[in-house]
Amino acid sequence: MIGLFYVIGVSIAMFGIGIAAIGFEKNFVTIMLAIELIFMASTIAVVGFFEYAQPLSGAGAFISIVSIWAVAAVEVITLIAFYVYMKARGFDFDVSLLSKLKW
Amino acid sequence: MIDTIFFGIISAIMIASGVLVFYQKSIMRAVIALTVAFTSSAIIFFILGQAFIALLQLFVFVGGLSTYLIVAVSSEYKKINLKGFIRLCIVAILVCAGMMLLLFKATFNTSQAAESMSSFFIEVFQSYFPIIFMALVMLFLTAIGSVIVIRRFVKLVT
Repeated sequence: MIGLFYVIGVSIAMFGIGIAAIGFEKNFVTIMLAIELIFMASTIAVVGFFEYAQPLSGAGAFISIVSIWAVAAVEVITLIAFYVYMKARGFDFDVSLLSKLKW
Repeated sequence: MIDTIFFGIISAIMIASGVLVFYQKSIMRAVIALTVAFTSSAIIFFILGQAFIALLQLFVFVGGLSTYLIVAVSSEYKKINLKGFIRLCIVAILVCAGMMLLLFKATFNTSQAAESMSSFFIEVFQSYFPIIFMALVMLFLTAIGSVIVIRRFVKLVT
């Protein structure tokens, strides 16, 4: 049986990579990929906690994971919306150029 | 023991592919690295004994990743530099170290933490299920709305 500490450690590592990438990346698509990594880290943490809980409750775990997945799925759709908008208007994908938000 | 070693190898692959997502010049390759990370997380769920969630993870993220692939195919190459990558790694390590420090300071007790967190999730997600269901429905409506707006916008532009 794998210790909970290892699972949480892996989750924290993925979260750290995602946060650092959001801070330093300028490409819009890459930032969205970073957010996906953070969602993945949160899912790993939730599954880890529920795996080691006594007694295990399937419904709570499932609802929480489905909620995380729903937000991740909507994030993908938002990515498409922004992508289409930016592509059609001829904007660069460098988010540092979008500071004024006056399109 | 074998489980732990296998878990360690899969975790190392997942973290490496997570870092590679940001060190690829081509976004297409970055998405492939993300695919490896998602597959590794599904294997981790399987190791943890949650086979159904592992399967769902694969199914759900295959859908998301196909979208990313479409976007990546038509997207440009991104600019990368080694200095930025080193900064990214340093900040990632600092964030991880800070969170680990917090975890140690909180006198981490495995079973106690698992019980308290799971009971918190159960309380939140079962007691407030109608509210969360409504929030999810609103998210779904937002998604549909954004698709409609995109269609109208594309028609307007073309």
